[in-house]
Amino acid sequence: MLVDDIKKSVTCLKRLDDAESAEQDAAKREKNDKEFASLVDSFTLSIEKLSSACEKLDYDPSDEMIQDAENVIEMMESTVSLGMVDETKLDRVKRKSRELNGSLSREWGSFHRNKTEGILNKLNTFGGLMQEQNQVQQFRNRITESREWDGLSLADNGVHTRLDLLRATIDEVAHMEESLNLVEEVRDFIALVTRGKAKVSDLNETIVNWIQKEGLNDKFVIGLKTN
Amino acid sequence: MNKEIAKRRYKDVLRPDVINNSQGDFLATHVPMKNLYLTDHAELSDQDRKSPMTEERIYELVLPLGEEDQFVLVKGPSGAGKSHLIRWFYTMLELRKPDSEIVLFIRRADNTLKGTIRQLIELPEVKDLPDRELYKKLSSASTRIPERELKNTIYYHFVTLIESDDGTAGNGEERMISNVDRKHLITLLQNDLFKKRLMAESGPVDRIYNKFAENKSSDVNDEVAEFKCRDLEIDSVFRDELMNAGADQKARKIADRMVGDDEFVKKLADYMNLFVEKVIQRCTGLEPGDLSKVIEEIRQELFRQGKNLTILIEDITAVSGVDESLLDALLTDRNGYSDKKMCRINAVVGSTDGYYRDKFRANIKGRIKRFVNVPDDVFDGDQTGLIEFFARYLNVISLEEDTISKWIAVKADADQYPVHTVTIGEGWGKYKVGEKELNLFPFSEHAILYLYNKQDINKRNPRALMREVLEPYLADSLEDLHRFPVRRVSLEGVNPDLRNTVYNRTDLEDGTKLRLVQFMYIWGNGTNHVYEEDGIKYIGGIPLQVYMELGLPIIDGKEVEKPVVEHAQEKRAEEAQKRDRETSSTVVENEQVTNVLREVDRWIEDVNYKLNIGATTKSVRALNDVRKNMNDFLYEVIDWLAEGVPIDVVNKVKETSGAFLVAFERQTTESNAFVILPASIESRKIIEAFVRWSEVGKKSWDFPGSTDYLYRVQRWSEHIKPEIVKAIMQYNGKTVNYFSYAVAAEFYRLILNGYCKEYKNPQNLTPLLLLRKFPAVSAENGHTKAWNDLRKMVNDSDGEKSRTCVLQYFNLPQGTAKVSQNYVMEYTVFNSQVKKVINTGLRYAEEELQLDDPVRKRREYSIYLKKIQDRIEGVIQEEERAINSKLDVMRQLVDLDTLEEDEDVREVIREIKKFYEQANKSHISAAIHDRSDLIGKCQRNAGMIVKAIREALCIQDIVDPVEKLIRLSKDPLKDLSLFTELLSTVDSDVRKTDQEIEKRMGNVSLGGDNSVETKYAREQMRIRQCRENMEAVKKRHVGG
Amino acid sequence: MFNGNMVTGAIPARVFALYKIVASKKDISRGALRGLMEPEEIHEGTSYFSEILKAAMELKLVDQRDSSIIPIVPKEQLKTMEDFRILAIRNLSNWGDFENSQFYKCTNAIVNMDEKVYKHSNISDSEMLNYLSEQTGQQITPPMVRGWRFWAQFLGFGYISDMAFLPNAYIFVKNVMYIMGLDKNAEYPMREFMSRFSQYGKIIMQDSAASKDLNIALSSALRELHDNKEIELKYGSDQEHRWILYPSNESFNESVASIVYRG
Repeated sequence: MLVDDIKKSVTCLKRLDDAESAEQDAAKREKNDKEFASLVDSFTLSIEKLSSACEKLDYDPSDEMIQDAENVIEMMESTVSLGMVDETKLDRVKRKSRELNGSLSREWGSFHRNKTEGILNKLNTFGGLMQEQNQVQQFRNRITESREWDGLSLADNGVHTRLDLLRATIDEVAHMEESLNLVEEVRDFIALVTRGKAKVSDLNETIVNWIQKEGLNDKFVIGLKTN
Repeated sequence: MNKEIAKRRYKDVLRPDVINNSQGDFLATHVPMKNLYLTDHAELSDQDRKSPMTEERIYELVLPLGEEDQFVLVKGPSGAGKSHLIRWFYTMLELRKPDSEIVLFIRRADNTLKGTIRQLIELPEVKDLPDRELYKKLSSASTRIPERELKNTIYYHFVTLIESDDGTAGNGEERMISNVDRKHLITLLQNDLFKKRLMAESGPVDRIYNKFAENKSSDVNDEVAEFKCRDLEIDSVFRDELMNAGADQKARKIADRMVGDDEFVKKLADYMNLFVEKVIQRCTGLEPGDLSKVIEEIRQELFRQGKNLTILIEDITAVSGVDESLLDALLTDRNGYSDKKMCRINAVVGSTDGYYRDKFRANIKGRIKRFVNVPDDVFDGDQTGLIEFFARYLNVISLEEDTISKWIAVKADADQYPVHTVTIGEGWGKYKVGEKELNLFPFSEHAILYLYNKQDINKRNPRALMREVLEPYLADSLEDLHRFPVRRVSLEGVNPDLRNTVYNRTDLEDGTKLRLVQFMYIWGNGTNHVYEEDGIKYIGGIPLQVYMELGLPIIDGKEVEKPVVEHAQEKRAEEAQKRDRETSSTVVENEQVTNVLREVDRWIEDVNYKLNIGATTKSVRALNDVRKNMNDFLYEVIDWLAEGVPIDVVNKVKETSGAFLVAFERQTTESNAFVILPASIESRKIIEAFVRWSEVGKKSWDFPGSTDYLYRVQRWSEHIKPEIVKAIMQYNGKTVNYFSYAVAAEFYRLILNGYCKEYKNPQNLTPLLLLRKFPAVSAENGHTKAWNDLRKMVNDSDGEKSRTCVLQYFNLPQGTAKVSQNYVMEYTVFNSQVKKVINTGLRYAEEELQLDDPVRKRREYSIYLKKIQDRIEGVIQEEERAINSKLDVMRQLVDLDTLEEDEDVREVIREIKKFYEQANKSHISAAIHDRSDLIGKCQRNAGMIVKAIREALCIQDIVDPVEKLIRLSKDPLKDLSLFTELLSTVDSDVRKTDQEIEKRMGNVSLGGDNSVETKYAREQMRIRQCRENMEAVKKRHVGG
Repeated sequence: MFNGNMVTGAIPARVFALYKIVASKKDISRGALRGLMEPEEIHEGTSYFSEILKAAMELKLVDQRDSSIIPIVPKEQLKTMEDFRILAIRNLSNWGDFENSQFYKCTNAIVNMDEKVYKHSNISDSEMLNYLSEQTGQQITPPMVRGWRFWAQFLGFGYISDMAFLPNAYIFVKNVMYIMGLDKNAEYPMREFMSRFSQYGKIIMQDSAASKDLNIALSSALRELHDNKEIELKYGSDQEHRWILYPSNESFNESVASIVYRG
């Protein structure tokens, strides 16, 4: 009878709808899965970087940062709690992750600055004192390259990451400094010089002697104070 | 008259040429002829006519029985009395002749050559003739030869003679026809077709044969034995027949020439006639001279005996063929042949004028020196002679033969002329002969004169008078006097007063009236004057007892003085005649009236006469008008509505051309009428009334004496009214019923237009329906073409006619004019009549439809209803077929039993809607079509649909077609179709949808359904890693 | 029609038709009655209903009570037009004012014109109208005369042939004789007969009571009855009062002394 046929047909239609929408869902799901996966991957990398930074550089993220990161982890877990990627949740976690990255980038940026400022000063101060100017440049480069959070895990030479190199730089520079046998006065003086705050009054014999000894007479200039 | 004797004798007496006619009778009846002329030349001049002679005188002059040979030719028109005269001569001679006179009388008895010859040879004088050879020859000439053989012989002789002729016919004169023509003629004569023509009865060969063959009848055979032009005339038809029959070329050639060439044909006829004599002679074996030889021998013998001869030949045509030689012999004066020693001869020969003129050869003509001319109008101006003629015959008929013989024995002495004893007819009239009176029964003087004058001018000779007047009336009177006179003679031109008086009598039968009028006008003096004379009462000139004898009624008369008896009956008869001759009476009559009445009188008086109804001659035109006016009158004066006849019925008959309420009996052109006006005196009066109304009153009753005429008409109208009223409503014994057919047809129209939807069956229809205004419906419907075609037909002009009839039939209009829509209905009768139709269920069998109604205007309704009925079956079938097909479709798709209420249908529709919604959702291409219109309609009409289905299912069980029709008029098809359309459309869409579903389902591929655990294992591991890292970080974390 | 002006619309058949409806319905509203006679949906033009109803009431066939029409005469007594005719004659004659009615006066005038009426091939011509107006003392118009003729024909005063009146009151007299209730085969002296006759038949008699010359209408009627042997006209020399039939060339021209009713 027609009505029966209609009913049957309607049922089939519904099933078709489901099927077709299901089909559409599958694609979506795949896409979501992919996105999820990549998100998880990238996040994991970030956390690894973070962890590495903390370990190697004594980087200490903020409370917020930690909280956020943990939130993101939770959210990621919840996204696939039902067995498949919940798109809505995925979107949220993606966003959150992006924000986190942003925060990480920013925080690292200021941390990096702080961390490398002294070194750069030293380099500026001592750098000229170095025999191997290339090395100095190398140190500078390393510093520059490790400014960006994103690229921290990159291993330009294929062996060491930028993070590692930064560490190495810090160490090497410190070592360099060491090697310079700098007394305190001298060190303070160089620091002042690096800061541009060295006054003539600051000069003392020790310092002058050192300078002469190290043969850095030409490396220092007297300048006027800029207020 | 002496009835007993007359009965026995009259036939013998009145047949003058029969051999047995006795001499006595002859003499006794003989009326002396008075208007005879004796001349020496053939044609009568006016001068001659100044001296007529009596027969006695002629006798004296012509038959003195002297010594001189004499030849007298008695000539005159046929029937004039020539042979009578000659016979009289003979009779007289016989009486008065001396013994030495031999009188030879060649009678006309059978008027043939053979007969004549036989008469000759039977004469004792001839029998004893010495020349036996001659005698034998004559004998053999008179013996019988079979007719056919003889005729063939005649024909054969002609051909032979012509063949051997040289064109002059032996006359030695100039050629009558060319050789070529003659030869062609022979071939033509030898042609079978032509021969057949000439041999036909009454043809030339027949006539020639009749002339000399034996003829036993008493018919007077006057015809000349010869070829006439008309015998030889050929028309193109015959010529073509000749051609087609493959006639010889010569025959055809001459036939061609003969066509239309009268002169040539006459030449041929004349030529052939030249051989007639020879042919006859050859056939009889007589030679030209034989007869004259006989005469000669007879004369010689008589001479020897010392006797003389008188030959009287009644009619020379009797000896056609040998007449010339006979005449020659008779004209032979012995003085020229003294050596032959012949006796004196007196020859008196009778011949018609025509025969003398055409057949007597010139040389014969030249030798005739004496003529007795007997004119035809022998009684003209001689009324006494005429009456005497009748009187004598009537007298002789009533006398015994021996009475007459006794009178002959006294030499027919006039003084001793016997008079019969009257046993019947006293008072009828008499004629004086000397001192004696001859009774004229069954005539009167007046009757004789009147009837004589009524005869055609050519039929006034004695023979015709006897045949046509004397004998018939006599016979009738002997037969039954109470019906006498039987014959009707036209009474044109007489004073009509008497007739009107008689006709106006209401107590007499028509037959009696006619008889009385005839009698009083013809036998009497045409008046109702009454007088007494010698103790006898006379009415109209006829004694009272005569009326009683005839069984005729006596009419009241006007007493007058006895009319002065003038010198002779003549005077009175004359006056009577003169009076009759007057064409007008005291009042100058309207010509039309006279014409019509004359025609009508003939109609009444002669049972074989047909009344001239037509439009040609004047008198007939007036009669036509009478018929029309009579009919118009009846239509007007009959109060139809009071008689219960609808005006419509009247009009339908009135408008049928050739249909009359009244027409006349015995018309020349037949007409259809309810009442036939018989040929009677009463009818005459009615007709007269209407003629006067038209012609004298100028279409009004304002004319003198009109009240009486009107009275007759009124009475007659009243009398025939019931018949007309009955007949106008009927034909062939059936009451007209066309109203019913119109009603049925109109009901059909209403049904087909859907106005009867609420009615269960035809018996439920009501008459009031017919009084509504129900115009033709033209809206859309779901019916089949068959239905709609029929609907169109009943909405068309025939249907309108039916409707009009339905309304007009019982409409009561003022007057009989055409009606309008100003209705006043005879409702009660209308109602009951319509109910009757309703009760038939609108079904009429073919026999009931009066399809044989002769009035077309009524028949139209029968035919129309039949047309409808014939188509109903077909329409119903079509509708049912359509319904069933729809139902079938539906049954495939829905369970009809479940569709009982609107809701059920709506339910289905809802499902349907769901389907489309869903399909739309799923973007099924089949569902792209917008079905919302259709669905909407069905939804709105859900109730109708259910009803339609129920109706459609019920219809199948109905038996009566009209009931079916009514149900079908609810138009279930419309909603059925609608719903079916929806269902089918949906069905088809569903199918298409299912196909699409299948296809698309096939295209859908769902990925493998991995379990969640394994699915995100990697990610989860990483997340765990993260957590660990974070823990580490957190451990280091100082805070801040 | 009878009480008041004569009208054309109330012809006898219609009046009878109305009665039949009323008699069969026993009680019908005026509107419904009209609806049956002049069906609303198909009727066009003038309505004659009022005239017809009025005539029916004048003839005492029906009566109106409030808005209902009811029959006065029971159906069984009035079945045919013949019954109707007798009833009409009876009821009209019994109506006291009949002789003053226009109908009566016109009839009497026309019927006593004798052969002068033949001159009018249309009885509604102006001459006739003038004459009638004179005789009746009222203005007589063509519609009135046209209406008169229907009843003249029906009641049987004479015949109407295309608007001409042809006097012969055979039908009327026959019906009157029926009403008179004569004994079969009884002989009635003319004086007695005419006196009884005038009770119902005065309308066609001469106005002057003393006149013994019978007009055409009555004469022809008596003649016809005599010729049909429905009565026998007798002439008796010893009767003192003799009525004289209208002169005619037909039979029975003697004056009438008595009538024998043959039935």
